[in-house]
Amino acid sequence: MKGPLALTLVVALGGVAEARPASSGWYAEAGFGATLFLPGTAEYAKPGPNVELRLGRDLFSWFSLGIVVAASSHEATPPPPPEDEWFQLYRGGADARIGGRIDRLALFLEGGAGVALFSSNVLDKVGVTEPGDTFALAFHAGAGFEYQLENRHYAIGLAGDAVLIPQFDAARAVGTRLYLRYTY
Amino acid sequence: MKKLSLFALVVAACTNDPAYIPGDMGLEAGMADGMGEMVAEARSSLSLPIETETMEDAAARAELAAQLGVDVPYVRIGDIEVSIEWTAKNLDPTEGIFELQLNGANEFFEYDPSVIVLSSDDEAPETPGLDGDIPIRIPPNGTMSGIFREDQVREASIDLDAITRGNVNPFNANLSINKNAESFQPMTPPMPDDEDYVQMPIGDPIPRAAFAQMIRIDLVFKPSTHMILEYVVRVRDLRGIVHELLGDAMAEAPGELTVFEPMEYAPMPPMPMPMP
Repeated sequence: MKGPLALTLVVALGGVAEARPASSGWYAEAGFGATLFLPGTAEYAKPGPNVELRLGRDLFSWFSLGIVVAASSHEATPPPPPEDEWFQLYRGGADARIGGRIDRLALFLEGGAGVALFSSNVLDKVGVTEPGDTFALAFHAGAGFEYQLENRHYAIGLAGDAVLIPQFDAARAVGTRLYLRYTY
Repeated sequence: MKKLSLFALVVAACTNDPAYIPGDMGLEAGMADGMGEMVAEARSSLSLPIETETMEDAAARAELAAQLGVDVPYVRIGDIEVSIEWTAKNLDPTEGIFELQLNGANEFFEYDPSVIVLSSDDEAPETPGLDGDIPIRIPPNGTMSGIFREDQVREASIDLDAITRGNVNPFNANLSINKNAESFQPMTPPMPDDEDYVQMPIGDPIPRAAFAQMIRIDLVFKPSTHMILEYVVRVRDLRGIVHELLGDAMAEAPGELTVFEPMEYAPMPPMPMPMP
C-alpha cells in the first residue's frame, strides 16, 4: 500500500510547485556508498564500499531512462579456508526512473535489470555461486531524493537500491549511494 | 580505440582475479587406525586444471625452446600464481603439534622426498620437502589457519625444477632463495655417498623463461594428536590457461584438460655403507 501511495505522491508533486531551474535531458551521475548483503548471503560476505555510474536521458520531466554500472568490494567470510579474501560484485544494466520535484528537492523511484558478476568463486564453497557460473541476471529497485544546486546543471542526491540476483542463490543486497548529477 | 582500451582493462582485471580450488575434504591423521597403530600422516594431491595447449601456444613454445636451446614447459613460472590456504583443527582435548609439508610436480617431474634417499647413514637428516615442515603448536580442540604464499609456491616450483632438471641437491635448493633467480645451472647427477665426487656443470644454464611451474600440489599433514586439515588452492591465472570449471573440470570436461605425466624424481640411491 505504501508503494503506490508514495508513487502517487511523487507523480502528483511533479510540476505543482515552482521549482528551482534545472536542466533536463542527457545526464550523468557518479556516486559512492556502501553495499551490504541481506541474510542468506550476509553470513558469507561483509558490507563493502561501492561506486556507481549512471548515464541516461530525461524523456519527460517525470521519467528518464538510462544505464547503470556499479561495483562493490566485499570481504568473503565463508568457513575457512580461505580467510581474509575479498571479492568484487560488478553490475550493469538498464535503469528507469520516475519522480517529481518540489522547488529544489526531487523525489524519485527507480528500477531496472541487468547482469551481475562475482569477481571470484570464493563463495562456491557455500553455494552462492557455482563453478563456471560467472554472470547472472540481476534486478534492482529503489528510491532516493535529490537536491538541485543553484547551477541548473548540477544536483546532489542520496539513494538506496535493493538488488536481487536469483541465479546466485537468490542473493539479495542493499546499496546506498551519495551522488553528484550533471544534466546537460 | 578508447573502447578497446577499456575492454582490455576489464579483461586484464578479470584474469588477475583469484579462483579457488578446494582440496580433499578433511585430511585426518593422528588417530588410531583400529589395529593398534597410529595414522601418522595424511596425504593429499591436487592437480591444477590446465587447459589443452593451443596450436599457437605450442608453436610459440617450440620457437622459444629453439631460441633458448633448452626444454620449455607448457606451464612456466609467471603463467599462474598459486597459494595454498589451510585450516587445521585439533580434535583432541590435549595440545598438539603438527607439520605440513609442501611438495608437488611440474610437467616433467614429481618430487616426493619420502622416496629420495640421499645418504645411507641412518642418522642423516631426512630429505626435505619443498616448503613447510615447521612444527606448529595448536591448543586443545583449537583451530589454526595459515598459508603458503604465492612467493613460497613460486620458490618451491623453482626449487623443484632445479632439483629435478638441474640435479641441485635438495638441501641446497631448500636452503637458498631462488624465487628471483634468472637461471640455474644443471649439474651432473649426485652420488651421495661418494665423498670424492664433485658435481660438475653440464649443458647450458636453464633461463627463467624456461622454469617449470608446479602443476600439481602435494601436501603431507603430520599431526601429533587427532587432527583434521582442510585446504584450498588459490590460483591467479595470468595467462588464461586454467579451465573455468576449476575443480569440476576433470569430471565435466576432461577432454579439455592437459594430462601431464611427470616422472618420479629418483636420484641414484647411495651404496650401502660397509659394515665395520
